[in-house]
Amino acid sequence: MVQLFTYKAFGLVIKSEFEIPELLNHEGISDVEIILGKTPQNLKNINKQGVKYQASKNEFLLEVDNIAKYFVNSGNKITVELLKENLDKEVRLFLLGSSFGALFLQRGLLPIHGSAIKLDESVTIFTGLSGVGKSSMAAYFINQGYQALADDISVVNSNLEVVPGFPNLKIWNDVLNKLDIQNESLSQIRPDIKKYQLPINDNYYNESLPLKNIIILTTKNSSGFNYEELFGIKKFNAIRNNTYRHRFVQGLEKQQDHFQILNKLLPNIKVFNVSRPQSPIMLKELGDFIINLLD
Amino acid sequence: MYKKNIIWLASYPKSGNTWFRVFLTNLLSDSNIPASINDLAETSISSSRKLFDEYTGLSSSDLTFEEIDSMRPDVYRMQSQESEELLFKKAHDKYYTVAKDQALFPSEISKGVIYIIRNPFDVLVSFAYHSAKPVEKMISTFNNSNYAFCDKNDKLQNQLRQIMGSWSDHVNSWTQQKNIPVHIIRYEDMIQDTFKTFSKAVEFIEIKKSKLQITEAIKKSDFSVLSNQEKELGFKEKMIKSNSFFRKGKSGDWQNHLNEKMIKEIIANHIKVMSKFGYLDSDNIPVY
Repeated sequence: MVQLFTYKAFGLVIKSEFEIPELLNHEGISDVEIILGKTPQNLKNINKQGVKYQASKNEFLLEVDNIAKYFVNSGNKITVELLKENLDKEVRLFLLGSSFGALFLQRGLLPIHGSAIKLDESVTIFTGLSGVGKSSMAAYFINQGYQALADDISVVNSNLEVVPGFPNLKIWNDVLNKLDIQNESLSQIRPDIKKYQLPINDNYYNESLPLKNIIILTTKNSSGFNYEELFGIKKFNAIRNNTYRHRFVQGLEKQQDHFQILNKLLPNIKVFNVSRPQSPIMLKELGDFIINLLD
Repeated sequence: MYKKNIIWLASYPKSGNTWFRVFLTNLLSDSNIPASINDLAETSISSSRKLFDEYTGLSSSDLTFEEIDSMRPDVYRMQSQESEELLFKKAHDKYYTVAKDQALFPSEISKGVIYIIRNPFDVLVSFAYHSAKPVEKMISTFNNSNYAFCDKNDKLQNQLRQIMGSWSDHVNSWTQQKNIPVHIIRYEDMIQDTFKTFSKAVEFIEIKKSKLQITEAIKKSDFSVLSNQEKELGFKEKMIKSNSFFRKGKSGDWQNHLNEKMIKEIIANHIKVMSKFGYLDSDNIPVY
């Protein structure tokens, strides 16, 4: 009899055959099960293929060389096949990333690529291109005493609420230095990458909250901060494009669900483009600018 | 089956690559108005992190440099496969192999490479200005066989790592490889013999354009047009520390910035390549 671990993350009860210490323990009937086993070599009826993934209606397959293969099925089951000896944090990194992203899309949820921060009694999501400062802003706000619901993937459910993910940020060393956070006791996400798992237990907000704002961070090569509120098709496209792994949507035949949730969500939230000088990232100034903007 | 539909626009930084890309954008567009320098698609840069993440389905920020390198050829293969048109992709990486018999830029999808080379003295001065670094420091960068853009592993940089090596390494890597047909353009010829130089490049790419179309595209890509556009609207590829991207666009400006010692050091390190491409005469005296 395999020991089962039960967690709650992103509003889902997850039963796993292996321990996922990043997630919070929970009891209850599972929405999703994670097992170890053999994954298919290839999917049938592939709609969309990337270098490392295949997607079809209800099925998704991801391969990360020398780490693991992940087969995500019907939004309720993930099979992990190890390609390395140990089931370690590297295996979990890609499970909690792209594989979960596909799972959310299969379930008709809206995963947005970015971090979710509780401001007053609602949530603001920071999204934008990789490297633009999404997690850095989350770390900054947490350092200021705010609470976060998620990092990297922020999931919006059909009630237009952001559901809490798990109490962990992934922060690069340069940002830790900026925030005067010592890295000695932190664990690197992978041995050769100086990006650290930063537990945020006390600053984790573990209840769903309505989404109020999405801030799309961009960089520019001049000084000062700018913002623009987006409307209409520009607003729609901006959030569609910042959907986590938005290229999976078509492959999973989830365009309709995706379109519907976006259409339902957008009239209820504000979306802003906020541009900052490309370097260095001035966390306090950017944080102040955003707080003033949302006031 | 692969399609040979990618043209790599390769160069060491500050060698005229952007000028050539603006020319191409104008040549391929039907508009009467000069193309905006800010509309040169971000995704046309081969080190785009966004494109890599989209095509792999992974976050490059969770991968090592070696893992990213091992996947980049497949990212290009997939882009090639999805495109019905000729793709132009800027590259500052040198040409190198990422695994046994596996080049970073796969030959089976490559129609060719346009390699743009510029007098290293001028590159150096321009590069120093662009990066807001002293010329002395840029000389060591220039000579550094391990030089790479975006190679820090403790912070996330906006592009994927690009291994460049020394200036000579870079030139040799592209111009001596035998897997992709290469057409070499000298920046100085782009200035001095503009029509002929651009026409030859168009011929190499094998796109049918009339003399008039080429002339018009050259006019729309004139340095004054680009520089004015930057003054008016800014240019997103400019580094924040430099005042402007389009600085002088001339050849020979190095004489105002390099001293005797610097000149000697550069020549000593790059004499072979400089001579080969006509930047030194038979007495090793600078030509431009």
